[in-house]
Amino acid sequence: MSFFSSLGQRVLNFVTAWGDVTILTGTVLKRCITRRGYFGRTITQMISLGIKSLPITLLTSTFVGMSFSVQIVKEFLRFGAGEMIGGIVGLAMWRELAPMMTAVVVAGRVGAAISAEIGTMKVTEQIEALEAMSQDPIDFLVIPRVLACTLMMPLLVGMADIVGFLGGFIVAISSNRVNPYAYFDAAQKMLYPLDIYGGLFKAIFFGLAISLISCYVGLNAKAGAKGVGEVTTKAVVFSLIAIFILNYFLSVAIY
Amino acid sequence: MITLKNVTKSFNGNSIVRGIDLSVSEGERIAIIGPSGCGKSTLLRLLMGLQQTDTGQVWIDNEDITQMDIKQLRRMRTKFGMLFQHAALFDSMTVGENVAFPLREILHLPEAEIQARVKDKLLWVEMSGKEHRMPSELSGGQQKRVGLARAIACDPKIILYDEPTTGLDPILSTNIEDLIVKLNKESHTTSIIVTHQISTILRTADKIYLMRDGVLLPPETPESIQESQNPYIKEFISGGLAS
Ligand SMILES: Nc1ncnc2c1ncn2[C@@H]1O[C@H](COP(=O)(O)OP(=O)(O)O)[C@@H](O)[C@H]1O
Ligand SMILES: [Mg+2]
Repeated sequence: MSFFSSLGQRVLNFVTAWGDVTILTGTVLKRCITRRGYFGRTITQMISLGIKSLPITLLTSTFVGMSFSVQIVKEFLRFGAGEMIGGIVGLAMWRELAPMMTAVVVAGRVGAAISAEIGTMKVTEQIEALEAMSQDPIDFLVIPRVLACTLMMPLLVGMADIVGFLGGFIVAISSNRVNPYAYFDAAQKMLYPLDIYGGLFKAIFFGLAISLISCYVGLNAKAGAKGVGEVTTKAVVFSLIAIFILNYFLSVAIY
Repeated sequence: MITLKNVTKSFNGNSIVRGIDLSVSEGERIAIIGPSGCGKSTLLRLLMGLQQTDTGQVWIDNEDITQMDIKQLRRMRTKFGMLFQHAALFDSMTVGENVAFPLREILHLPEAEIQARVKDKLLWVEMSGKEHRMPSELSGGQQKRVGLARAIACDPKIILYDEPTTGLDPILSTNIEDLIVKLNKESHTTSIIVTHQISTILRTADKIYLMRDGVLLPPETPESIQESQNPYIKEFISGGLAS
């Protein structure tokens, strides 16, 4: 019985939390339009969250493009379909791999950073200090981070698209059996602008989800030093879950 | 100016504040003392509307803040300055930016005036020249002094002190107490000090309330409390002075 009631409580907490995140999303979106004065703070966050995530995004995306290409080149050459490789790599990178891998990296790096920062502020009474000085923590902390993350995510994915595709290119031509021109030619023939835009469109949602979840988790940190450690884990895990689920539905909806 | 009527508050079924009545007039210096975890910080939060009361009323300047919406609450809170237990300085900002924060965000002063006031307040708490330090580079006592500078930056009418001297050595404690006394003398602010450190209140308060089991005992003065026959008070005083 106690097992079921504690299970029930957990499910209830989980559902309540997602409900709260949804409400927070609504509040943030509404206030982005109605409130002013978060411009400077958003720029700061774009630099600290976005630009600083660029190196690791480029690195992972290059290697994802390369390893994907390794698999493809071998198999496709066996079927004599070498001239399709550029198209396949581009398709996979732009539609799925670059948005997903970038989101995973950002969830780890940015999700942990946001939730740790806000969580620390919460347990050290800084959030209360903000409120005591008549400030709104959502306007002050959440909106700049959500905006920054949502705007930077498509940019990061765009970069990941390019380096991933080029990583695939390098692997393909170094096999000495794929014509460099054919690689780009295939991409041009097989791919539509929607393949790129769709991925960038997904990225917007991923950025939104990561930042909102991480802010929410941080704001609800429990007192004590353990609280901060817990929230970073929570923020990353919940962001990842949200990204994988969102990705499926977005893929179905877009393509 | 401040009146609490039968205020209660509980957390997860744990009743922490169980019907507090309190009235504080302008310029008065009161202290609330009680053991850790008895609900002193909670009481301060209820006063500023940082937490909602379960029942009861909190009147600040003839307005019941329990009936206010968030906008009205934010306006009301500008009357207060609060020194948090651990100073609660924004750790992403320098000392100067911390003190400038309320001047910028509440009063929207021009930049030159902000800088002048920051200098002035830091001088007042004897932290001049530390504008560019980060809070993490300061000791606990220094952080509290910067916290005090930030709390008084906008010259509030009421100042709330949450454990202003807890965790500080006797010399630093005296130093903070001196600042509290000086502030009250110079600007006639109303002050409410919450602490479990008995030495602090003897010097900084006119009226002392003991908080016990979620209610306040009748007030004592710094003189009377030392001669009190109430066994609970006696125990608290002797324990407090001994430690
Ligand atoms: N937001 C909260 N949620 C749950 N319990 C709380 C909360 N705030 C305070 N408490 C509980 O209320 C009691 C009193 O806390 P507090 O007001 O901080 O005491 P004090 O400041 O006197 O040490 C503690 O037992 C604490 O655990
Ligand atoms: Mg306390």
